[in-house]
Amino acid sequence: MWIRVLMAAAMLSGCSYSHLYGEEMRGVQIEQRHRVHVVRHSKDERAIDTMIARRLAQAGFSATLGPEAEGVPDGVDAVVSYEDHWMWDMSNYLLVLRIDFRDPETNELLASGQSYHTSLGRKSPDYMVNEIITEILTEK
Amino acid sequence: MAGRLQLLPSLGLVMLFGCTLHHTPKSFELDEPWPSLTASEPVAVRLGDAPSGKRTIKLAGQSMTLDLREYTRALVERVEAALTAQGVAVASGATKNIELEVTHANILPGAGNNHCVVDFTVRTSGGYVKGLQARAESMDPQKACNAALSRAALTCVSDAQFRAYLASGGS
Repeated sequence: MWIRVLMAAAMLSGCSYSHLYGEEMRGVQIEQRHRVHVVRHSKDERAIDTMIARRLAQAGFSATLGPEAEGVPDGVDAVVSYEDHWMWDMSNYLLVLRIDFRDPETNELLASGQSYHTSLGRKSPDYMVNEIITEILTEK
Repeated sequence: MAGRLQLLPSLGLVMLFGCTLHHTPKSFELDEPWPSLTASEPVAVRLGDAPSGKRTIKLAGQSMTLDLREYTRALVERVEAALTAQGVAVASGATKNIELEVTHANILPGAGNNHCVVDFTVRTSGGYVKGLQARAESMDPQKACNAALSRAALTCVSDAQFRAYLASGGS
């Protein structure tokens, strides 16, 4: 009996596991980097770059976006890139999303955040973008 | 029988809440070829100012802690080994020096695999500053990070500006 209960609990907890993480690197205050550019990666068919730029604009940033091939416009204070990993379980869902802010001159990492939701706890890309940006901006 | 029954709740707690393991970097041989290097004079590879202290990385069902200072030390050792293997003289007192700092490390969990992503900064006494990233994947997160640190060393010595600095005259 105990074993069945534990196995069921482990299976359920494994299917709905989530975690959120966001961090500015030492000495960085990302909100002081007012002009940001979001780089769309070539395999993004879901416009996650637009979601990130919209969320950053809501937070007071001046956000532009464009494909990787076009490069980064002059005068930006940070370059934003992201990585999305999708899974299939009855339908496609976003398993993990990572968002990075980098210095446009040196490519040094300024801030990074990551959201992870397994199938039963799945969230929309918009939700995950929002929670990562919020976590980075409020993490002190 | 009674002992076995007492064990079950403990087992359940481990299954539900997972466990935490600390990752101490270990050497990892990459299958990839290392580039040939030339240096005009001996070079020192220095430890950057990575903060010491445990960072926790959440994984599905478990957590892993790591120390960026330990990661930086491992990267310095691997770059020194790569330079030495290519015949570059490494001397701690050399005026030409390279500073390395692992600034961030994290795991991207995937379908059955863990991608360890290591971000680091290279600074040379010639004024070159560059943020680089390396990654490796494995079912075992510790193995993934061991491989990612070796790949970080490979990424460092493959960087065109880094190589140009090594070959250039003057420190």
